Amino acid sequence: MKNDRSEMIRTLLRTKRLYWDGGMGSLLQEKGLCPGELPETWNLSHPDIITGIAREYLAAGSNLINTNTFGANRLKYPADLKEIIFSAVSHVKDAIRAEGREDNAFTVLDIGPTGKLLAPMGDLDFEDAVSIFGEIASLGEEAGADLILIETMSDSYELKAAVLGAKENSSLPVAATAVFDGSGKLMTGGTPLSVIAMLEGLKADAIGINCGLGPAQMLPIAEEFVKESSIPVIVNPNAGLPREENGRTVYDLTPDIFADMMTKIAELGVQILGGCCGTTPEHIRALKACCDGIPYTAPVFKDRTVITSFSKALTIGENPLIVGERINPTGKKRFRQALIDKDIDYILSQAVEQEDAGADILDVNVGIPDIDEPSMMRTVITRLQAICALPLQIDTSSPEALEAALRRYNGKPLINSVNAGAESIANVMPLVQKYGGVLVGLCLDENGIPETADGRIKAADMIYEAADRYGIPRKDIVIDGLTLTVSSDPSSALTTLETVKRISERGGHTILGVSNISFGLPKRENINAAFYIMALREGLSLAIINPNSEAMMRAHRSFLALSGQDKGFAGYIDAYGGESQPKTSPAPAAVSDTDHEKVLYESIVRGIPERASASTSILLETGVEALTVIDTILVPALDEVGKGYESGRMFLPQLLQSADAAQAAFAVIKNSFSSTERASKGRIILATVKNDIHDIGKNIVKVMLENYGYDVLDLGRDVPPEVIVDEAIKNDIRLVGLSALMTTTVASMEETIRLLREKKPDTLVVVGGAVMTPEYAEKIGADAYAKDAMETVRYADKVFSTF
Amino acid sequence: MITGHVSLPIVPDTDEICRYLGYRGNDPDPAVKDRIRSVTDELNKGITPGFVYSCYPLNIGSSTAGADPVDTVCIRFGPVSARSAALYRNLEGCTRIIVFAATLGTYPDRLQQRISLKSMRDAMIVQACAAAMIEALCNQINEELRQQQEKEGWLMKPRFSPGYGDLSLAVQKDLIHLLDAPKNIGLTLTDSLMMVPTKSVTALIGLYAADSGTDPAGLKDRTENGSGCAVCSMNKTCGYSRI
Repeated sequence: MKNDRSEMIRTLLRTKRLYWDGGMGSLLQEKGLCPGELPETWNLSHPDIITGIAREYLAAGSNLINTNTFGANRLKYPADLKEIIFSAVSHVKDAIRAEGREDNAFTVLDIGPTGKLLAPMGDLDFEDAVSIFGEIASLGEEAGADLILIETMSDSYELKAAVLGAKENSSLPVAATAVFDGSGKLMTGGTPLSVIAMLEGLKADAIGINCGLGPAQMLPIAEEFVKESSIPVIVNPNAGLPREENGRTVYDLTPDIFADMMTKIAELGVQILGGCCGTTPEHIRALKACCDGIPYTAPVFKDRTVITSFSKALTIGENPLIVGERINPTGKKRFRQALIDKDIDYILSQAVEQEDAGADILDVNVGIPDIDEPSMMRTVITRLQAICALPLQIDTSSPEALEAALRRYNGKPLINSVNAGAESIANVMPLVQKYGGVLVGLCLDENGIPETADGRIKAADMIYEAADRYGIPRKDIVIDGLTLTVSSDPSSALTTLETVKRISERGGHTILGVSNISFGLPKRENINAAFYIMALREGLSLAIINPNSEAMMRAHRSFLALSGQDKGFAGYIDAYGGESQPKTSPAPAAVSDTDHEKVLYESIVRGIPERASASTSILLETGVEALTVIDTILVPALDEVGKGYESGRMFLPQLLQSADAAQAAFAVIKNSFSSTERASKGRIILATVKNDIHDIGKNIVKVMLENYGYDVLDLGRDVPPEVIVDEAIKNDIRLVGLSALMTTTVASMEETIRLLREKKPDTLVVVGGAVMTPEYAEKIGADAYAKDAMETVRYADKVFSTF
Repeated sequence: MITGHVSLPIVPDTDEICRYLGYRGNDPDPAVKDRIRSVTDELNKGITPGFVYSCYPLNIGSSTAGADPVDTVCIRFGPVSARSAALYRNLEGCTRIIVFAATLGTYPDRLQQRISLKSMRDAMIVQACAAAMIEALCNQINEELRQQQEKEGWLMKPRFSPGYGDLSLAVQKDLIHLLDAPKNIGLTLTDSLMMVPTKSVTALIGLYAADSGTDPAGLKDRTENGSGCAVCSMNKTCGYSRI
């Protein structure tokens, strides 16, 4: 019976205009709900009023009636969630029965946001959010709801967690609506297109907009939804804009004006209409009267291929897009080491560099033997999303790592890859079906890479057919024609290009890992750039390249300019307009080593990172030992600045500027001599304590300690005491530095110290942070208080010199 | 409950930024000044500021007999009741209260994380500029409210935030809930009562009738000097203290 009603709704959504109900909170306030009182408690304390409101909306003509459960989650109702949801659902069902509307009205389990911000920006873990929403959905289905509405979402990440939770824990249809502001953006930056792409990928049954705006301001956003969505669209606006009158919030649109504005939205082809804050049964009655006469338009399938980040939507198949290839350990010693050391900051810096260089998408591959790839993938994806707004390509051959990434991904990703082999299809396609994404299909199968374009097209066709079986739209498949090394088979480039051409001619999308082509040849960039242009000419949609390579970016920008894809040559001029003449590598002036030593010293003292790294390179090239550079230049220069800061002659920005320059110099040394490690003065753990997410102070301390020769194990922020203690034991750590910003988190600091004393009593603890004082530090049992980074360095020196 | 549109750019007080950077009244070098300007521009391009406030009748009175001596003065508005000597002094003579929250959104947090990968100096500058910008935003809205309230015959006390003096951070929970701040402006609390996005402010602003003859005992002077430091419990050890 229940499934029948779900099916009935799914059919109705695609065949008939439906009306949602309107506001709930404003009506409850009118009936005596106090400011700050939890509205969901009224399900238990005022059942008649709740049922009465539902009956009023039914009488006004609504087909979809929300339960009074907007804020009903375990965070707000730890004790009586089940009772609240069950009573709320029964009130709406009672109302539907009482009005005799079982045939055309439905009970909608209403789910609002948790009120928490998801990690890493906030402290609610993604999986905890999924579980919170899942519990509501499962209780709602058990109570007899017909449909789930996830609404008033202003963060795409929480929206994703909610849809996933609902889908994984119930079989009910799921509708989802988000809040956009007047400029058409989510509070966290998403656009209608990015939200639509993500929700369609997650297989929502209807999607749209609610709250925040009145119908007039919503019109352009509704228009974009109708234009881009392949599934039914919902528009539930407020009754205009709010103002405060005698302590009450009132909205400015009368039912007639509201309904009149809504006809314009109905005429766009929006399938489901209703109201949000400030709207009443009268608004819905007027709305239905005005819109019943407007013919229903069924949603139309849209052929656009879109990938997204939390804030950005990219269309594949318009301008060619660059996928930055640098987040990948293959052939990169420094990157492999970063994975082994869990040096996530290094990986993140590769992302920033590529974004600055002009990448549109970043490939993410963290697969090396002997690491927990799913866990590393989860960490890297989560951290990348906090600092980088580009969509990502999840690149892994491990189905577990792929699923870990797909769950946490905030948007609709590019996925690399599947091939035509049965096993690969069975591993990858169910995940794409569930989470959504644009899937790269490699033109090969169990028997290897077909030598001819015919063979590769055949493999591509097998992938397309498999996608049909899994319900993945063909538009979401991108074919990789496979770049092979041209020096081992002179015809291979042409075979690849023909494959690209034939897929493009059929309207399909293509991708190539360009750099493979030149393996084994000198001046690889020459071949790469030429091959890239040839492939673009055949219609290549996406290229996996190194965006830091000037030759590749020149080829890319020149191609766009020549093929009419760079309007007014804006991109080209923006990149090269400032250069009066072609850059030539500056001829190194004939200077003695001593000069460069001076230059480096001064670059550190004055804080000029570019000059510091350049002169370090030159010194190393001329044969100066890395340790000599460190001991005779870097350390004395840093010390001069450190002393200047301690004596009050220099200020924090100058100290940090020097630290930045020293870091640049150390990076050069690390890259060229990664085997001859600088002798570490000691290993120190740094962490911002549990429940605390402020880490700038800790990061400053980290940089300073590293510059002074310490090896820092940075455990990040919001770090549980047990993790700190485990790492201290595992690495036999002599000194731990802890940071806490607020009085509320000093408790975690105290707990960490207590646990360290118990489990690893020989470890010393130095603490710092905004609310810390020497007395406070002593009170919670720390060995030392450091007021700033320099004091921490001095304390570390004291600890390790006597060690 | 009123939420409002913020017009950009927000112009922060440069002296305030330098104070946050630890210059103690000294002048930054030109490179840092340039960076302060460019970071402020960048922040203005990316932030999604918002604010929300609501006005309630205020009750200040003794609680029921037998209560702990600390509990003798109870400050009540809407469903909230708080106990704080410092807030009590601030609100003396007031009969209404504005509960207020503002945020710059998540962009400053993202930008700071991102920039710290390349330069800690610049990350520090982002943090200082954003801190001064949320302050500037609050001042701007404060001023609008002041003019509006004056027209209606009400005068405003200086704004007072949870964590100042002896006002417990726990009140933060009530204020965020009362303003429906997560939904209205995307401002949330962590379990440890930290605000995220971090560049956010909540505050209480007392209102007293212009004709009531009450004078905000000394507190008005304190805001005009631009210092909340006088009532802050950290004013003896804080490196940024103005007193």
